[in-house]
Amino acid sequence: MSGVIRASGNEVVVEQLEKMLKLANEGKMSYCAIAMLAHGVPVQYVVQHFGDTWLQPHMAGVLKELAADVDKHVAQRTLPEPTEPADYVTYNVPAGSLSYDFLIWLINAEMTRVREKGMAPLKVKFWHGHDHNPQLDEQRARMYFNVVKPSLKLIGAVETKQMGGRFEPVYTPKPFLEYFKKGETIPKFRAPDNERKQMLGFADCVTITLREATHWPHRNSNLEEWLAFASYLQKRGHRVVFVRDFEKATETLDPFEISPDASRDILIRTALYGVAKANLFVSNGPATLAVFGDRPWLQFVQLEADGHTYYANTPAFWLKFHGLKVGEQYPWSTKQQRLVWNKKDNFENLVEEWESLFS
Amino acid sequence: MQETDQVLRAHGNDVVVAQLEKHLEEAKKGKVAYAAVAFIAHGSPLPYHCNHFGDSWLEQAMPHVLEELIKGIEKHLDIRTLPAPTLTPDHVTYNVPTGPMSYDSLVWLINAEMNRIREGAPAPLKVHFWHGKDQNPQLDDVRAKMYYNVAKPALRLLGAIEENQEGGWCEHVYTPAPIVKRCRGGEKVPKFKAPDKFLAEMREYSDYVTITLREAPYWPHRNSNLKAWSKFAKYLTDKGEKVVFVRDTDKADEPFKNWPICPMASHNLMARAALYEVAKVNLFVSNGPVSIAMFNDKPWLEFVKIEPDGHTYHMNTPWFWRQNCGLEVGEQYPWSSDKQRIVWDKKDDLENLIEAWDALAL
Repeated sequence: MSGVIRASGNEVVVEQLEKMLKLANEGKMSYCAIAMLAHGVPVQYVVQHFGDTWLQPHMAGVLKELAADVDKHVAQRTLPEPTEPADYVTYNVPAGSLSYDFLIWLINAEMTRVREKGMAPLKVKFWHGHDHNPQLDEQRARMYFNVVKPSLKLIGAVETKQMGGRFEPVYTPKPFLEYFKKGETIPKFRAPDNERKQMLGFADCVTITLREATHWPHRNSNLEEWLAFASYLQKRGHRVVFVRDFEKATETLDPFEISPDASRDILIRTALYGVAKANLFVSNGPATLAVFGDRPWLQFVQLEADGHTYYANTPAFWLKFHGLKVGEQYPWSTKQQRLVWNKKDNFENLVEEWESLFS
Repeated sequence: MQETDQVLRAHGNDVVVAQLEKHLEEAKKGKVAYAAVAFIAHGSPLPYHCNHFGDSWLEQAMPHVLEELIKGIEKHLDIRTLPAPTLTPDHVTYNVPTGPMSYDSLVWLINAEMNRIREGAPAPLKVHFWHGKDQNPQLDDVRAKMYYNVAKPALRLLGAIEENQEGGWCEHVYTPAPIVKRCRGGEKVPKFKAPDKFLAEMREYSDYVTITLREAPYWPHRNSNLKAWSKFAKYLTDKGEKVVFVRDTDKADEPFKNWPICPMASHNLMARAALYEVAKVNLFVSNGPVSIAMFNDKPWLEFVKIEPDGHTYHMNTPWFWRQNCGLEVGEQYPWSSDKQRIVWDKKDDLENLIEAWDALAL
């Protein structure tokens, strides 16, 4: 995979800076101040100001205006204080993650409800900000309508219009480790009966979920290796079903089966994972469904060095946000539910881990 | 005037562009996820543009970062902010890192001398050149040249002296609006006087018409129309006048066609002032050295090409002249004689040069 690995938001930054440079090149801009932030803990940043210092006394005022505008943006997307009991929760759509990370948020909300003895079911309000702008671009809209909203059914939650619910910005499972240690039960995702029935025909298959995204392509599945591994499984009598990335849902992978429905519909996907013999992943959102499911799974996590642009697969991130040191497993996982640490998804590793899974 | 299709760049714009290019290159490496940028241009009200963009996940961290940026700027400003004055008005302080290093320092000097006289403080005016709390006068090559060749020697033109004592007054006046106001209020405007030694050296140019050329690489649209001035010199000599050209400092020693030049005046402020003082008349386009003629007794003409308000070169807009020079387009400095004239909004082409010259009726 070639090309620069770009942090989330980097494309917009580059595009806007190019516009700014074009504006500056018109000749009139004499003084400039810039702040650039990168993901990390603590947030990494550089600040600089340059140009005709004659204008410097005016810059502080301009920056205060800029800061006020940022504050205004943040305020538009800051939820009001909660007023309802713990069975009412509110998802902050414009500020929140619209991805499989929502599933973690949902698990956390449900655990809070149970801990605080809120009445079932969990009632979820999707809040669109004070300005009713949910900040849905094409990508976010797709995740919102195809992943986030339908996933309530996986945990028996329902949607509500009632404001005043709680919102805890938890998108990674670290807090669960503490709750689990204290004896709390980790909820499991379960597909509705209708979808389960629909997928019963796939019982005992081995699913291979491919990551084939255009963003962060370095994280994508090594397709050739997975295909070779699928042959290996087939020769040993296993039925293999590939779940392709949404964009490639219907593209065939002959001679192997694919499940376009699972690619497109999170309920079907969950049902498939729920009836499978084992579910195999690289580091990717849908693995969350397996992490909070009962079936065996393997997830190949290829770590990056701390400080890498793709922060979410660095040891520092895993420790801070998942609560796991490299080599550790989620405490609620079984022996057949395993993170495969720092191994590439090549044929040799896939076979080795598969064999150890059922040995 | 040299024609150019290049972009006119405001002061500091080349630095802004160069630094933005560097930041863009850094952003292209992929890690930068959120950014905020603020621009300011010269003008009134101050034109500015600011924006923030990227992954809004990081938005909450930005106000804190901007606060740090503001503090950094305020620290810079503080380092270059003069302490409050403690001395009498015959002691003045020039803020070298923030003040202009150009012929604008002459206007500052005239204003400081007027303050001294108004406040009844004893002569001479004593000037301290302050280099900032960090002793960094911010002198790049161009500023250093102007500091040592214009700002410092200029004291002698007004009988002022340099001192090392801090605590003097500093009124940030680099353009003549306050002087215009005070003159209209009845105050006398001081005149520059070249030292006798230089007057003696320039005596040979008595009754010459001086033509000061602007030939700078920056703001080339302001440069003198060399062809027209050469033709005009011919027009003058045909009428029996004697002409000498004063080239821009960088071209001081280069011949200009076959016209007499005065390299010494290009290089040395005292010689320049002396030349303008002994000459019959001094002719300029809009350029720093005209400040010397403005504050002496000899006839002069300055061709000022006005740009519309909002133009990148804001210093020749009606707004700038009104705000900073105290003049509406068409007006003259109140201390000027009827033979010391700004020629408003006329290009320095041959026709205009002749027309303005004839109108002088010398």
